[in-house]
This record gives sequence, structure tokens and C-alpha cells, in this order.
Amino acid sequence: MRAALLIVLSIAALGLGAGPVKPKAASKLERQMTPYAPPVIPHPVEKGQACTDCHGVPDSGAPDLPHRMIANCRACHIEQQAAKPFRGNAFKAEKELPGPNRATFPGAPPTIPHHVHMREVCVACHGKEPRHGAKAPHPERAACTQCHLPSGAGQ
Amino acid sequence: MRDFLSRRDFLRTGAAAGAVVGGLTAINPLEAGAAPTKDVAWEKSVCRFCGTGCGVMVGTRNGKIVAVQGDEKNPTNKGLLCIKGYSLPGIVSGQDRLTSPMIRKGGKLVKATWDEALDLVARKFGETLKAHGPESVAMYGSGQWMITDGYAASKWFRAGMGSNNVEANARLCMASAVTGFMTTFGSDEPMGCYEDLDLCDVLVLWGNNMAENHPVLFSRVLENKRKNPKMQLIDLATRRTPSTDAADLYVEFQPQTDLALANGICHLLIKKGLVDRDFVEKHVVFKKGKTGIGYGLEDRFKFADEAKLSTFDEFTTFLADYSPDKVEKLTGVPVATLERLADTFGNSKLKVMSVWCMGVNQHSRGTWMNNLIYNVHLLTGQICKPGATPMSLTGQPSACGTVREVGTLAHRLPADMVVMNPEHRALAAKIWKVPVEKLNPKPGLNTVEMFRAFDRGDIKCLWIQTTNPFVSMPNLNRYRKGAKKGEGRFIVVSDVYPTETTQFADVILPAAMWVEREGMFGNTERRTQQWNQLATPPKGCMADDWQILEVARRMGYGHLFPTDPKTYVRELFEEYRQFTLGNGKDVASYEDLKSHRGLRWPVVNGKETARRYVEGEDPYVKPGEGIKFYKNKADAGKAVVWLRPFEPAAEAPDKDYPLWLSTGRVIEHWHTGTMTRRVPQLNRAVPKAFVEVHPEDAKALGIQDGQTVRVVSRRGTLDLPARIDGRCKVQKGHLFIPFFDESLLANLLTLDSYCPISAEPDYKKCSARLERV
Ligand code: SF4
Repeated sequence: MRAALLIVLSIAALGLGAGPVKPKAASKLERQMTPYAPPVIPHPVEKGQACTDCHGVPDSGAPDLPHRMIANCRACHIEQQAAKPFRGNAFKAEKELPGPNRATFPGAPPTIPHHVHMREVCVACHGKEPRHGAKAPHPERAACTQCHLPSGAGQ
Repeated sequence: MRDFLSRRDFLRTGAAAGAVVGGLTAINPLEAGAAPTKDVAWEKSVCRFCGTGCGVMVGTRNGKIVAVQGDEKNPTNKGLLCIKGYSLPGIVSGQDRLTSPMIRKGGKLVKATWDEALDLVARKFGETLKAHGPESVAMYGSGQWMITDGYAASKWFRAGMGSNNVEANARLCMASAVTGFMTTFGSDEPMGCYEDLDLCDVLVLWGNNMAENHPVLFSRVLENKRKNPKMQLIDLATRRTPSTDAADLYVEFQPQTDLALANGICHLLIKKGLVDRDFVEKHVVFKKGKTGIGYGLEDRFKFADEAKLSTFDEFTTFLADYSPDKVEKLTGVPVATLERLADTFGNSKLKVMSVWCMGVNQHSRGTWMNNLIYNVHLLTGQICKPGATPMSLTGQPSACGTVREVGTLAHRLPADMVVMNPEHRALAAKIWKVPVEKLNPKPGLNTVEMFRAFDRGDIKCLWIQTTNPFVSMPNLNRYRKGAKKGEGRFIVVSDVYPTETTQFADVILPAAMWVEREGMFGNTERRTQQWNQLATPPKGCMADDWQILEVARRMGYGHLFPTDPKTYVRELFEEYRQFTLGNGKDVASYEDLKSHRGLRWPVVNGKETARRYVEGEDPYVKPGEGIKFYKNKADAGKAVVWLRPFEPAAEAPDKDYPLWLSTGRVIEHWHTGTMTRRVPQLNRAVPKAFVEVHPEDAKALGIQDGQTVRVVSRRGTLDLPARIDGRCKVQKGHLFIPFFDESLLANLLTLDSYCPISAEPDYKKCSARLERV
């Protein structure tokens, strides 16, 4: 699954550029402008292929949707190809700052240390194959936010 | 003290000659910076890009932008953004930000102090005004101007220099929408609101790729579709786009024939008895204007329409030319589809909404096309009801708020008023506290004529702010050559990055942008939104409005403007607001704007208006009136159905140039790409321009996807990669090139013809040929 986290700079998909480029490990920050931005598409997109052919399909191996279905995926998630930077940019994204209170008292269920907007489906990341966060020790208790409250991170 | 002296000086000379004061020391209100914060502080603002006007929350620490999120409290977007909005933090941090004024000396741009640069600009404008009169100076601004930028520019020009040569790039995108609204309803801007997108049963896109150009609004449409599976999306277009992918019906027509298509729908509405007779009786008058109106191709082109009253019967006779058979031949739309369109609009059980943007506006008959869409809605009464409305979309964040409402077009004053009208001038003179004779009754030059006059040398001094005309003007070869001529021409450019336009400048003024300063934008649905200064601009950058104030002060117009750097934004806004009150255009108070996620005008007693002209929603409609187009006083509060025929495009394919060429945007880049291309992720998504070619045309020439090809028009030549069957698909015989790429300039090829009524150029239609290289 790590492979899915690599940026495969694809040129085939758009038919521009000059030949295939070696896949290169992408830092999280290259995939997203900030922790609040939608990640870019880290793989080539075949002509005629729909995102939902794989994403959101159980056992397809593709990451699940962390947010409700919004049909125009490509308004936020964009393809990448090999390209020289147009001009330099000094912006350095920071990791998301955790919210003020990680747990209300010792032993209480931890609060959610990141923003939750567009991340309503907890198991998309914390499920069987955890992606960015911890694996949920009890994913069968599907109503996560009954016990884990937003911490106000990013608010 | 100096201000007092300058005022006396002004009074003595009458300031007709624009006496230059000089010797002032520039203040930069932004130098104090944004409030320091230890932790990340989140505050509301608005997206810098499209006319949707999405609310964003900007996270800053110590005056530096850390991140941006969608604002869940903003009713425009309810937390959602498109990729451009999420990329906002990167648009201010390009490493080549302009941070020092530059002055051209011996052919080279060299660094200068603010005082040197501002003194020089004031001196040049003053001398030019004195020697050559008010027609020799010009300002070219933008729909990305904040409200106070446009207001300062308009007042400096009109009340100060007595010149109406103040224009904005919104002439290139929204002028036809303005003239469409003014001729049909007597007042600019939509009656409906975004909520109508959630409520309509049918949405008709008129030449509009909403999925790429107003993505968050399109998300609202898709959400409506998800909740209401019967909802239909109808895409009337000349090219398949991502919007088509979501459509239930794709109706492909030939360029320019949308005029016939709309008339064909009206023909069928009458024939099938689908006209809402009661609505028409109560709310509609019929008019006709001149025909065979030309294309604005010649320098100093002039046109004045003459409206004559008409009747429903005359309208019916006029529509005889648009029988389904004839319309099918002209447009390529099958009769059965035309019938379906008429049945849809004419079905009173369905709420039908139309949206459009550049396809309709950038049209050599753009005003007519706007009128014709209103015809369809007025005949069927599909207007002023929740979910049933025509809605003209805007492309820039404040094309509405600044250019249209403040009136930074050569003939306009704030709040729908015009310089030609003596009453309007009197009101303006009163608010501006200048003698009415100071205000010039002759409209200035529209954008295309302004650049033509600059090329000829009639305009000598031109200040360009917040826009990049030497990429975005049509027929660029002519205007770029004109800018290089020298011979006493003087160009000032205010911008944040070096652009294709700054390279022509004699003076460059580095600007502060977006949340580096307090600002206000007005979006498509009449929502005025304010934000505070949240970030500190790079040292040396100054707000556009303050730049204008500094120059105006140096020319002896200091008495016209506020002087306190801490409160001037508020003071400018509150003065502007006086124009709007009681006019049906009432913008919200400064306090209300601060505490709200924007408010939609008219705002009366702090209450916004969702739908104009509707009793119970719009405070200007009296009890019992139901619906009243009260701004159209000339026709007793009725709207106008116009008899507007089909007329051919200015240039069409022929033997030598057998293909149609159209231009436009891609979702990743905004306008000329000066901001979005500096964001690495957006740049990697679409690094350069391309030309979309139909597979059969490509095959005939033996062209592969990605291969470099040559596109030739009568005005220029461009070599760029071909894209065959990409995410958008052109018809056979058509080409499309996005215009964002400064190194592959689509506008070298385009034609500078324009709609004679709106003076908006047609970027969507000219002829070209394709060659192998
Ligand atoms: S839809 Fe327009 S306003 Fe909204 S985020 Fe995208 S570019 Fe910005």
C-alpha cells in the first residue's frame, strides 16, 4: 500500500511532456498545499477511467473516501505531471497543529487531534489499513464521534 | 498642513490643469503589519479567485499565512472550496514578489523609492492632463480590484481630473451581462441567488463550463441532483467539458447560433401555447432595436441603439424566421431537442434556471444573447421564484462588487448611474463635494478603444492595476506593439509579480494583495464581503487604493480623499455607500459587513435580500405588487422582451482558415496564471497551454496527441502541443486554447471584434488553420 503514497509523476495521462519519469517518493507536503488541502492524485489517470471505479469500492485496494461523496472529484483532486516549477515559491506548509485538549481527563477517550471537516468517515484512515493515523483498536464500534470529540484543531 | 495648501492651490487653479504638488512623503498604512499572534489565529476572508466568492478561513501566525480552510459558516460554499481556493496560501509567497518601486531609466527598470515613483507618476499625469486634456490619461483596473480600489480610481479620475477614461478588465468578461441587465430590467445584476441552484428542477447551462469555472457552485448543483434524482442538467454548448459529463442532455450547437437557438425556443413556446400570458401581461413590454449593428473592428467604432416599442404580435411575426426546421439547419440542434427545450421551459410545474458566463458574454452579440435568455424566462414566468430564475455568473471576485456596482467602466457612476445623465452627475457631484461642471458628461473610451487610442498615441498616460492586459487583450500583436512604441507614452503598472505587462512599464508599483490588506469583494449573487488585514505584506508593498490616494494628493486632489491611514478604507466605503442608499442597490453598512459572512444587497435596516423584485423578499416591492421590476422606471416597472435576430459572427471559417477557434480557462489556472502558476501543485497539474483538436482533424493531418502543431490565424501564429480527446472534447472543425500561458499566448490569434452595445470582445470565435511543424 505504500506504493499508493508515492507520487507517480505521470505524463501519459495528459499526453504532454517528454517521456516517463521515475516515481519519486513524495513528501506529504508535496501532495498537499497545507494539511487542509485535498491531496493531489498520486497516480496516472487512464482515459475514460472514473475515480469511483476504485475509490470507495471495497477491496479495490484504493484508499476509501474520507468524506461524503462529492461527485466532481476533479474540482479538488488534480493530476500531476513532470514539470519544472514556473517560479520559486517560499511557502512551507506546517504540520497540522493539534487542538488544545487531547483528552479531557486521564483515561478518557482521546479527542480528535486534527480538523474533521471533509474527514467525516473516520475508518477511511483509521480502519483495517490505517493510512495516516493510528489504527483504531475497536473499529467495530462504528460511531466513533460518540466518544472521540473534535478537539478544535484547526479552528 | 500640506493638504491644506494643496486645497488652496486647487481652489485657485480650479485644478483644471491638475497642478502637481509634489514634495509629499509617502505613508504606507500596511507597514504596521497585521496583529501579532503566537498561535495560529483563524479569521474569515474570501477566495481571491472566481466570482463564486467562497468564504475561507485563513490561519495566520505573526502575520504569516499558515493555512486556508473552507469557511463552513459561509452560506456561499458551506465549507467547500475548489483546488484553487485550497491553494490560496501559495499565491502570496512566490519568491519573485515585487517589493520595490521601479522606474525605467535609459531603457532599463531600476529600483526607486516610493517617493520618487509616486512623484513621477503624479508629475506625468499632471503634465499630460495639462498639455493634452482629460482624454489623454487613462486607468485600466480590474474585477479583482477591491471595492475601495475601484472607488478611489473612479473618484480621482471623474471628480479630480474630469476624465472618464477609467475602465476595468471586467469589460472583457461582464460588460454584455451589464448591458443585458440594463436593457431588460433597467438595473444591473441578478434577481436570483445561489440557493436557486439547490432548488431548481432543471438547470440549463448556456455555453457555460460551470464544473471548471465555478466549481463550488457546480458542487451545489450536483448535490441538488443527488437529493432530487429527477433534477435535469441540460448543457447547451459548442464543446464537451466536465460539465457535460454530469449532464442529462447535451445539446451541441454551432458557434454564434445560440441567438437562433433562443429565438427558436421562443418560437415554439408561442406555437405550443406555453407562454405564461398572465405574467407577460403584467410584467413585460416588447421592444426592438437596430439590426446589422457591426462588429467594432474599426478604430473609433461608434454605435448607439435606438429602442422602439413593439408588441407581442410583432414579436410573434419576428419569430416566424425561427421555425424549428430553420433553426435546426442553422444550429445543428435537432427539431426534437428544440421541442424538448421549449416543453421544459414552458412546463409551469418545473422550476427552470439558466446560468451562463463567458460563452454568452464574450460574443459579438453578447448583449442580445443576454436579452434572449431573459426573453425565454420572461415569456414562461420562470423568474423571481425560488429555483426558477435566469442567473448570469461572474468570473472575477469583484467584477460585481467593484466594477459593476462602483461603476469603473468609462460611462458609469456608482449604483447603476451613468455620466451622461445630468441628474446622476448632480448626485455624484453632491456626494463628491465638487462643482457639477467638474464631471465630464462624455463617456470615456471602452477597453478595446482605450488600447487602440494608446497604440495611436491619443492616450499618453496609462495606469494598469491588478490585471495583465498584455496577455488577456484580444489581437495582442497590435496592442503589444503599441505598448512598445514609446514616443511619449507612459505606462504605470501596479502588480504583485513580474508579468508580461510589467515588462512594458515605465513605472512598476509593488502591490499588497488579498489578506495582506483589509478588503471587500462583491460576488455573483450580490453578496458584499469584507475581511480584515490578516497578513503582513512583504516590506515595500502598498495597497492599490492607497497608491491612488498618494498620487491624487501629489496632484492637488488630496481634499477629495481620506487621509487617516488607519480608517481610510472604512471612510472610502462609507462615502461610496451613500450612492447606493435608497436606490435599490443599498450595500450593507461597514459594521454589518464586519460581523457577517457577507450580505446581499439591497440591504435595508440590516436585512439582506435573497431575491430581488419579489414582494416579501425585496423591501422595495410594495405589498400587493407581487413581482415588480421597479428599477425599470422608463417602462413602468416592467421588463423588456427584445426582438433580437440572429446575425453571423465577425469572422467564420473559410477556405484559408477552415477551423473555429475558441479560448477559455482550465480549472487549475485562473486568468493569466500569474498567481496559480506559482503554486507548485497547480503548475504540475497543467504546466503549459495546449490546443484541443478533434481526433478526425488530427488524423487528417497525421497529428498525434502531444505533438507540437502550429495554429495560424489572420493575426498571429502559435506553436503548441495538440491535445486530442482530453478532458474536454471539441467538435470536428473546432480548436480550443486556454489563455493562461504567458509563453503560449492564445490571444495572439484572437480577433478584437466586440459587441457594439457592450463593447465586450468575442474571445470565443475566430477562424484559424492547423499546420504540422
Ligand atoms: S469556486 Fe471560485 S471562489 Fe470558490 S474556491 Fe474555487 S476559485 Fe475560489
